[in-house]
Parts: sequence; structure tokens; C-alpha cells
Amino acid sequence: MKDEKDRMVTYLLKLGELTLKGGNREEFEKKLRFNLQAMIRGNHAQVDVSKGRFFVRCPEESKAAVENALDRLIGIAGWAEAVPCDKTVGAVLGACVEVGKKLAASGAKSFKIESRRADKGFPLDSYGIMREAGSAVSIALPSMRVDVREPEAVIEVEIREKAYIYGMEKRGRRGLPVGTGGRALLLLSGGIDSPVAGYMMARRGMKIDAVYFHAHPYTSQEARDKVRSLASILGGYALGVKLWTVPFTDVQLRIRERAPGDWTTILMRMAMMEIADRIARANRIDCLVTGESVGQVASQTIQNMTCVQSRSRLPVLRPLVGTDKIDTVDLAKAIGTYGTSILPYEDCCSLFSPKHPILKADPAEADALYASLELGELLETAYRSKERERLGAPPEKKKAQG
Amino acid sequence: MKNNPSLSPLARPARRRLECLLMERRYFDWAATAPFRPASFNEINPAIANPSSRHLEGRKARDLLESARARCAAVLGVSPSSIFFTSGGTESNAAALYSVLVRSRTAGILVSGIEHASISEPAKTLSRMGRPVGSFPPEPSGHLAPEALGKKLAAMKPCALVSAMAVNNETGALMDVAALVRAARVADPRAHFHCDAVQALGKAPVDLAAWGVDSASFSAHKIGGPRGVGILYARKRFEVLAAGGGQESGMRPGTENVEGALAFADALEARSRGEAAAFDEASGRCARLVQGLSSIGGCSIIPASRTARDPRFSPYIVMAALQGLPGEVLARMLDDAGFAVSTGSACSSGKNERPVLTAMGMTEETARGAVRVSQGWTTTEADIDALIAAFAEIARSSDAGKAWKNR
Repeated sequence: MKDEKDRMVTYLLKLGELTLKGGNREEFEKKLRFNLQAMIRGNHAQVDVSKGRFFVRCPEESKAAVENALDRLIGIAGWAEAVPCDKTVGAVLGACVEVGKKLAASGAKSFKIESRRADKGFPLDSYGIMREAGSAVSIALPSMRVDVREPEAVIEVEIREKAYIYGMEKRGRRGLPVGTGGRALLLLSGGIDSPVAGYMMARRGMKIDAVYFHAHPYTSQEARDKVRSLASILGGYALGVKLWTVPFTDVQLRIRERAPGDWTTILMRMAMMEIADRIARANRIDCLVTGESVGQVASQTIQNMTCVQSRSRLPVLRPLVGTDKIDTVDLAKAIGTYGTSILPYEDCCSLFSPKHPILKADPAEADALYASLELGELLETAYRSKERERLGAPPEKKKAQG
Repeated sequence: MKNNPSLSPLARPARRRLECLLMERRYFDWAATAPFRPASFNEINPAIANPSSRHLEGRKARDLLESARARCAAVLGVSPSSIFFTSGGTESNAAALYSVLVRSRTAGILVSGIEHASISEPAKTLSRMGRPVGSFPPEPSGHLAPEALGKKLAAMKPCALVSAMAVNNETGALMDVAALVRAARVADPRAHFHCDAVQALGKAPVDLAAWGVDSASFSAHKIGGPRGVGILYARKRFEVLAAGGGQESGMRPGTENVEGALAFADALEARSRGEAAAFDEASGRCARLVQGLSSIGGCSIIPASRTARDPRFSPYIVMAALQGLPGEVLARMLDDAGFAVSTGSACSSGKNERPVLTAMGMTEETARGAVRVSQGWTTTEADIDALIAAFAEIARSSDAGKAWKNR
């Protein structure tokens, strides 16, 4: 008998989209494993990989921390706490009843069994497992009936180097492991959209860094702290986000001083794009990411986006370009950035924005106006005064692990 | 260069802290809290025991508490039995407002439109609980008119409680509390009259007997006492919502803050000594400030009708704005230049709402532009001159007027 505090918990992780990968699948798995290990570091947890499944074993006391990490891990289709047992029919059926009890306790009235038999040496075939386990569970738990069409719960049986039984599979974040898709520089404001855009690109396997333009004293320290906490939340999914903060006041004042009122927003975005492009290229970042969506606000028209984009030689990705605001809000709530995004501190955009921005900027006119601002030196100063910090990163690796 | 806000770089936290240490700071946020006056702890005899305990130590603590009560009552010119120690202005206000829940089953309350959040928020709660809650607006000058109160109260009758403040925390407007009470008595003699006098203490004459209010709130930290101590004055005891161990005659259950009460008494006595002279000096500095600010292009005093030596306002609080510059930004620019000012009540800064100024009928733009300058007994004329110079510099360098118009 093991002591209660030594009890180990096993989680089974199903890989998502990367199972579709061919020759380089191994590399994706390696990255996923690396990310997972970083995210659960310090919890005495151990990761094993076997044929399309990851297994995490950790002490009971680390359960909450490990589950929190699994909930944030990008690249898995689903995960569940599994009951490992010996590969004998008796042990498997017993474990099925044990899992069934938990499901019944959570209110399920019907169930079905699904099984996978990777080890063909097991005495029952998949169908046999389903049949025997189904009858064992319904005899042991009269409140649960078998329903193969629309069950309220599914008990899964996997026969591998051991047998694993689990129910209540949690949905994973899916996508591709962070770090397999290149690097992106996110233009992060304090709003709802840009953190979501960053999350979406992280889910495509991109490593995310971010840049924020700060206009002290026109924007408050609270606004900056808000962006920092958004970067931290994003970093929880993306294994840390490097945030560059660029002092932007002088550039904004110059724009306000020299540009026609209705052009200020677009010229400001052009200037931001130029600095972002410079940061990205100096740090071997492959592309820029913005939270723009066509037509969402007056300044985000396709014509205006074209003008803004012209200040960067890198591709500008806009994952939200065709999404509806309500969908973006839902996603922001799901990833936990919404509550921070709606804190009432104005970011520099809203304090400097005109009532009626220009809707369809002409590229030639935009270029001429931009040139007339003579921003060169101001942009140089802003670029050189940037500050860098890493936020939301998992704990550092210790020399000797526990 | 450091004082030119348009050039201020993004300061690294360490450097910013260093700058703050090196920079001469001038404090103009006395209405939020007055600097703690260490003298107020000097004479404290530590009361080791609980004043409700019956042993010798407990009796000593009880004596100290009662001496503090007597001293506070003497300065305020009322009977010691009408002074109840609380944890501060907010608790005193809450005790008065929520007493309507035990005072009557259905009757509502009337509050002025310029009350501090510690009055207006409990009023909203009472409204959510189904009680009728009325409100009456101030004059454009920010003052409460007895006629407006009387009219509204007569329409609401019967009303359990009326609440009107003595000095507005944002504009410094002094109310004629006695006239407000008289108007209330005519309209509904049975309504309890509560007065939030937190900003009045040390910034205006306080005469509870002449005012004739039924209850009033005070807070020690506004006059150099410690935070966490307040007074609820109640002419006659009334039943409060919070019930407990019966301390403070049941008006404020909870173990008494003996040290705090003693320090409050010290601070009150210190403030009352030479109060008239201090008020005159403050009036002089206020006139200097109002004149200085008025002479800056684009700078306006709020309300515009306020004159340099305006007896309708407390000299300790002045509200001003630079045209076209949000108050929040102006406050940060002044902060960078070494001046501590607030945009309004510290209890609501950070929110974009300015309910007091909106109630005065101001446009959103003017309301958003306002900053509050509040001074105290250590403020000097040199401080005032430096602040005027900083306003002028900001007005010049940010070109405030031009920049924000027609957007």
C-alpha cells in the first residue's frame, strides 16, 4: 500500500493536428514535449511518449498545477486523467467501473465504452473489451445505462504497454506546438483584439513577441501595466512573451502638430509599423501580427490597412481580418484576456484619435504626408529608447531537479 | 529639460525612482489626505487593554478613550455623548445611510447630486433594495441651494433621511448647511439630516450646533491624524444596521481604536489652535493661485464664477483645467514636474466619470479636463508660485488649446 501523499496521478494527452504531419512529425512531437516539460517544471512531473500519446505522471499534490498547464498547452487535442492498470481482463474491467463511478457521481446517466488495442496480445479484441466492460459497468452501476448513440459519458480503454482507462476527456487547445511555426511580433495595444490575434498565431505554432507603444504622460502607467498583464496571459500559452515598450509620445506629438486631424490615426499606425518592422528584423522575427479586422473601426478599412502595411517589408498577418467582433470577444473570454482588456485605461490610440478618421486613404497621399512629418530622428530615438522584458514565461530550469 | 513633458522619455523604473528621490516634490493633494503629523502620536499613553474589559488595565483604556471623546467633543462644541468613533468617513456615512433600513420599512432618502462616493454608492445600494432615492442638483457654481432641497424633499415626503455635504471635495464649494437644514425641516420635519463634513474639518468653519444637523461624518487623516479613525456625530443616538458587541453605545460595535481616538483628539486640538490665522493665510495663498492660474492663456478655474477671494469656497481646494488637455494627462504632466495633484476624488480617480462636475452642468470636455489642487498648513507661497509656473509651462509647451480642438 502506498502512502496517500505519494499517490501518483496519470494524465493521457491526445495529440492534435500534428498527427497529420508526415516526415517531420518527430520534430513537432519533440517541440511539444519540450513545451510541456517547461510548463510543468517544478511539479515533480514526468513526461513519457508512446505512439501518438503523451503521458504525464505527477504526485497528487501537483494535480492543480499540472492541470492548469495542460489547459494552456497548445498542440494537444484533448487530455484526461487516466487510471493505469495491468493488462488483465479483470483489472481493466475493475478500472472501467472505477471511472464509471466518477462519471455517475458527476451526473451522467448513460455511457458507452470505446477501446483501442495497440497491444494485440491482449486476450479480448476491441469489440470484446467494449462488450465486457459495458456489461461490467452497467451491472455495478444500475444508474448508468448503455447508450451507444448519444451517451452522456464515454469511458475509453486503451491497451498499450499498460492499460489506461479514462472518462471526462477535456478539450485541448489544439493547434501546433509553439515554436514550430517561426516567430511573430505582435502589435499589442490594451484592447480586446490584439491579444486574441497573438493567441491565434501562437496556436499556429508561432513564437510570439510583442511591441507596445507608450505615450507618457498622455497614457497612464495603468495602461502600460494592463498591456504587461495581457502579455503575461498570452505568455502563459506561448511559453513567455518578450514585450518591447517603445516611448512614442514625441512621434505622436509631431503627427498631431503637422498632420491634418483626420489623418492622425493612419499616420500613427504607419509610424508604429515602421518601428515594429525594425524591431522584428533586428531580432530575426519573421512577420508582424496585428488585431485588425476589416471595417471594425473606421480606421481599419482595407485601403487604410494597405497604407499602413507599406511601412513594413515583412508580411503583416491579421488573423482576425475576417472575424466578427462577437466571436473575437468570445475567444478573448475563453483565453482570459477579456477582463483585462476592458479595464478603463485609455491607450494612446484613443486619446490621440480624431473623431472622424479618414476612411479610404490614398497610398500616394499617405506617403507624401508621412514624409512631410520628417519622423526619421524621432523614430530613431523611440527605437533606441525601447525597453524589453519577458512576461508570462514558465519557471527557469533549475540546475538539479528535485 | 526634465520638466518639459513633451520630452519626457519612458523612464525605467529604477531611474524613475531615483528621479523621484532627487526631484523636489510639492504636495497639493491635501484633500485626499493630509500629511500625517507625528505630533499626534506623541502624547499617546499606550492602552494595552480592551476598553470593554473590567480589570484595571481595561478601565485605564476606557478612561483614555473617554478622554479622547471629551476632547474631540470640546473642539467640535458638542456633548461627548454625541461623538462616536468609527474607522473613518466612509464608515460614518454608511452607518447613517444604512440606518434607514432599520428606521423605516419603506421610506426613501434624498441625497444631493454632488456627494462623495461613500454617500452616493450606499444610496445606489438602497435604491437597488427598493427604497425610493431622490437627488437634487447643485447650482452651476457647485453649491447646494436650500430651495432645491426643500422642493425635492416636499415632493418625496415622507423621507427617512436627507444627506448633503458641507464642503465639496472637488470644487471646495462651501455649503450653507444651516440653511439647508432649515429648508429640510420645513419640507419634512421628521426626516433625519445627515451631513458629510469630512472635507469641512480643517478647511472650513464647523459649527455643528449652529448647523442643526442630526448626524455628521469626520475623518482624522484629513487634518493630519492617522488613517483609519473617524467620527460619527449623532445629536441623538439612532439604531444602526451593524450590530455587535455594543461598543460606542451600540452605534459602532467593534473593539475601540483607543490609540486612533487619542490621535484624532490631538490632531483636532492642533488644528483648532490658530485656525482663524491659518485660514487667512490659506486664503491669501488661494487668491495668489487663482489669480496666477487665471492669467495663463487657456487655463480656467472651475467654476468660472469663482473669484480670487471667494467666500463661497474653501481656500484649501481649487479646481482648474487647461483647455483641451484631459485632466488625467495634466495631472501626470504635473507629477513629472514634481507636483502631486489629483483629477478629483482619489476614491474615483482612474474612472472616466466626473459625476460632481457633470451634476454642475458642465460639458464632458470641461469636466474631463479638471484637476484638483488642494493645499494645507505647510504649503508656502513659493509652492504656489512654482505650481503656477508649471501650469504655464505645460500650457505653453503642449499648446493645449490648439491641439485638442476640432478633432
